[in-house]
Amino acid sequence: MNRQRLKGHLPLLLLTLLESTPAHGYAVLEALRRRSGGRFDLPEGTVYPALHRLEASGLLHSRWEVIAGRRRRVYATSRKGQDALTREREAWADFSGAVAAVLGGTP
Amino acid sequence: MTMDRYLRQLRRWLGNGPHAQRVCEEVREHLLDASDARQRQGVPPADAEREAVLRFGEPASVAWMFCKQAPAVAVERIESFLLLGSAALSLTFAGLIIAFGTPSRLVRGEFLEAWGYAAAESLLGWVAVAIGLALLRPRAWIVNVAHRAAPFAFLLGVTGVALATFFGHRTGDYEYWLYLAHGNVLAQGVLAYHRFRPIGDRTTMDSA
Repeated sequence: MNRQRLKGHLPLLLLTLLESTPAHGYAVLEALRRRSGGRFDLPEGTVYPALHRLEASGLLHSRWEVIAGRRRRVYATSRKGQDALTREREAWADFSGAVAAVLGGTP
Repeated sequence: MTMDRYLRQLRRWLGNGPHAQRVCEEVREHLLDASDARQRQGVPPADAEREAVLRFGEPASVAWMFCKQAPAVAVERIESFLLLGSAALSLTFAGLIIAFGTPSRLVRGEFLEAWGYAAAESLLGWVAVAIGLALLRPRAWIVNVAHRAAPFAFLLGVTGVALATFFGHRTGDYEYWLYLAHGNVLAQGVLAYHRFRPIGDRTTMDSA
């Protein structure tokens, strides 16, 4: 998978992963890897700046929690993030449907 | 590279603010998790730590992504830079006045007037510093600076203003140059604020 292409969709993917289950950065990366069947395998340092930026934009919020004896920064989707996710999902469905139609269509 | 060395390098790039501390703490926890996971797969501890660090990315690149993508980090780093720059500018003004303004006035027996004038001009310089600090809050300015790797440009700007002030002084009209310089700092801040929206105001994921 082209990493640059993936980076463009990273905010949408991160918000989706955090939609129902708050998680810390490492768990988010693991979920991304697992749910993509190992195809989304980004350099790990790229995910945290994206999480921080989403938080700065108000789409995520985070707090320190102690999990398994270790202090973790746990992220969760905010209300604003949920709204943005709904919009982006619709936009993505529209876009991917259009691309599929073009790719699969006859000239 | 060991985890401790990696974190030291990252910290050096990020600076010392509270956000930098949070980033380093998060990265440390991540590296511990990643190292533990590898050890569970049978990788020796030292190799597991090295691999975890390697996969995270070069400290400078990671720090740059934080500065580029998380304005708060850039705020901390650039704030101190701007503060020092503004203070240096103000001190330059005060120094110029004391070095070039006072002696000539002393010769003319205008002792009190000369020092009073220098104090007033220094005060004006510190007012400029205060205005500069107030303008730091709009993140747009910080984002602009961080995005374009502009600390160097800012340094050039400060140097330019100082030189203009100096040569303005040499022509005998330094007080006008002083006001021009302060006005320039203020105008740059206002323009930057109006040109770029603060990131926190954006709601689409394109900006995130």
